[in-house]
Amino acid sequence: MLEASKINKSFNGTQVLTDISLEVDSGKILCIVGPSGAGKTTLLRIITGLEQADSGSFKIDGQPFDPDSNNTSNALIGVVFQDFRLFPHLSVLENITLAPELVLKESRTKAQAKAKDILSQLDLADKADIYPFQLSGGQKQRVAIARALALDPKILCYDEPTSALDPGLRQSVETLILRLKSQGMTQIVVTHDMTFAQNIADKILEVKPAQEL
Amino acid sequence: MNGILKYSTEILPSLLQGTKLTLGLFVITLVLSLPIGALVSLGLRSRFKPLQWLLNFYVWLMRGTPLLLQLIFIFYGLPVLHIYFERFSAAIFAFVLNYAAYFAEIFRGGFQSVDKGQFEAARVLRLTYPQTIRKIVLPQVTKIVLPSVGNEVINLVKDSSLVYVIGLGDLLRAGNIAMTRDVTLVPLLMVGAIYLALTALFTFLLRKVEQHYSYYR
Ligand SMILES: Nc1ncnc2c1ncn2[C@@H]1O[C@H](COP(=O)(O)OP(=O)(O)OP(=O)(O)O)[C@@H](O)[C@H]1O
Ligand SMILES: [Mg+2]
Repeated sequence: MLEASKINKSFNGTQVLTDISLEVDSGKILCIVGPSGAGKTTLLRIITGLEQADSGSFKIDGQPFDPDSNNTSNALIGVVFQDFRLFPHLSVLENITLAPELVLKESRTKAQAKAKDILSQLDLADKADIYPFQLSGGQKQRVAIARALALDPKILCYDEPTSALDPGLRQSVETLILRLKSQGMTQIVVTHDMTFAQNIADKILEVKPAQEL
Repeated sequence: MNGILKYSTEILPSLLQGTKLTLGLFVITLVLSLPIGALVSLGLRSRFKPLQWLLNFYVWLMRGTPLLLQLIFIFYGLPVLHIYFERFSAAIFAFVLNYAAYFAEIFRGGFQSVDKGQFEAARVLRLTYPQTIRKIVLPQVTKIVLPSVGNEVINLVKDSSLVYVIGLGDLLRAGNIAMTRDVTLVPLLMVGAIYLALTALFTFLLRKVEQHYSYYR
């Protein structure tokens, strides 16, 4: 379970997040919704350690936790970026095995076996040896999910998983997220798409745009 | 015609001797200035301001003054301050200093054009900074900078003839000696042909390397 309490964040004197608290139970899905500019991405970046909160605290399973120093081999939170951010010079398989090999110090054989297993679960078994530029948007996203899953995270975060895809693909993202849920994955999904949120969420957190100070 | 051919074969060994020096200078300069340039470009991005200023000054100085002046300064100027270089070392020193600055500038541009998102993606995957540079950034920078580095490599082949001025027996000097001694244009034409052959060879090799990196976009 992840708990955040009283998260505050401002950029150059402009308050973006004010006393935001949230809670996600293990195996559940939290959707973070709100209008553009409300600070959804900022909140997700704080949870994933890419941005530092001005104040506030985090707990994972009751233990205090600092997302910013999350830079250990103890991979707790995985991220699927809005624009995927695959490594263009690495094949699909290498994108996935890179961190397990370098960070978890897994052997190449083990990392590859695990990666192939994840890939086939995501219907990407035949894509292992090609490069990101050869993938469709939906495939890129699934590779990004596979890359995050390979580190065995406790929580998987997504920023606008439907925004870079064809509208028709929304359904398959829903299915995938719900399937990961059925496997026990805790997930946090940022979206501005209310229908999508209602379809998948156990809980919805609305972030409202803050007033200027 | 036969005379020219015979003459050519006579002076060829001395020209090849000069070519050897030219190539030696070329290879040593590249082997040293490429990694130094990469390090300098990382330093140019450092958050430690004094280092940034110092390196910016160095790059500015090297790119803003002629290599010929730098060469003369190191070999003829520094002895005034009782700093002495042997001819070939002076040449290497000047060329490495100069080319490392150009490469640093090229790499700086290369680093800048790697998407910031790549660093963040590496970060959330818990890669360390050195791992990120080695596995994610450098391979992408290499592809980006290859065409510009290639230009400098070709320039270096030709710039190497500047060592003429400090009395090193490079390819150009070998040709010039033969020309003044025998009063004929043939040596200079042969020198030109050898330079052309060298630049053609390196252009070909560079294209091969670029092809190697074309497997992704
Ligand atoms: N690094 C930054 N520096 C300064 N301001 C920032 C920075 N990052 C975000 N902001 C500001 O914070 C506010 C919230 O941005 P954020 O990207 O979190 O919104 P969002 O809810 O994700 O919006 P969208 O739905 O458009 O993605 C915006 O006003 C934005 O300009
Ligand atoms: Mg956003």
